[in-house]
Amino acid sequence: MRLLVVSGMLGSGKTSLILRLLDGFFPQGMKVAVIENEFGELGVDTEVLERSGMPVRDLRGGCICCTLAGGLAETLRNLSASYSPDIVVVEPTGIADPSVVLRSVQDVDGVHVDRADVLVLIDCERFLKVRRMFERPLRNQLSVAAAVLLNKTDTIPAEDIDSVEDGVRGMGYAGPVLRIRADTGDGMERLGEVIL
Amino acid sequence: MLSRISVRCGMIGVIGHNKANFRCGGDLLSISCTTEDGNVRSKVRFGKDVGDVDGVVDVIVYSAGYDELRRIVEEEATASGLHAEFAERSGCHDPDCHDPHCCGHHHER
Repeated sequence: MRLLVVSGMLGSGKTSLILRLLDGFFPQGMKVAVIENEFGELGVDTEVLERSGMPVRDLRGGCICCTLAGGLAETLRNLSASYSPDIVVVEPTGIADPSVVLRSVQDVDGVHVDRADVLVLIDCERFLKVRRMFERPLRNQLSVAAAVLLNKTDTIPAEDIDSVEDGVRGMGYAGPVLRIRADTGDGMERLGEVIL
Repeated sequence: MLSRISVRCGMIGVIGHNKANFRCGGDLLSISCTTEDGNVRSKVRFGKDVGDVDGVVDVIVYSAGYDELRRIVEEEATASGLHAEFAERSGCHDPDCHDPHCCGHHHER
């Protein structure tokens, strides 16, 4: 089983990206499932993702990198037993540390994760604010990112997007950076090179 | 309504993202809005004209108090002709706790 963790701060476009991925991005015949983690008590994003027709399991009212870490392992085990997915897309909460998420799914009985990738989404419009307010969680996410996706590129001028990318590089990230619009799918062509 | 809620939340909190799903029969409208500019984006739209709707609004704003957020949502829902009910809150109730990781009465993380 492969794991794809779609990380990113609050409102960065994680659910929109997953909806795009579920809409024909993965090769035909690949069995895809989603684990959705929402801070809220009511599963707003889960209801949307379920309309894709893919199996969606939700964990609510906490964070899978800390309070709900055990729930993630159990959910993966149940998914593996009932559906045998080829790839599980995991959407943690905005402040989750994806490295902790990855550690929590190692050595889970009945689950063999043979590859795990982390994507980090960044809302271009509020990158500076997020970096100022949540530098540590952002650094944690960037430290394990297979790719950084600069999202909502329609909200700021092109030269400002360059500044956002410079800012990401300035935080020590050296991997691929893609400029996308998760709501339309623009710029996602290269994503397959990273995660497929 | 979601736009107005988000803009007002942006005035009292650090950063936020508010989401709403509205249903009518089997039809769904799913929208979201950050607290920066109040621009509402849709993930799923109604497929046809609809009548009465019911729905859920999920308001997450860091460093903003529950009671203040509740007041904003209640006022904007009423102004939009909607009746609002609130899910019982969980997690930390301490008004002096500004730890976004805090999950409970004893400040568990």
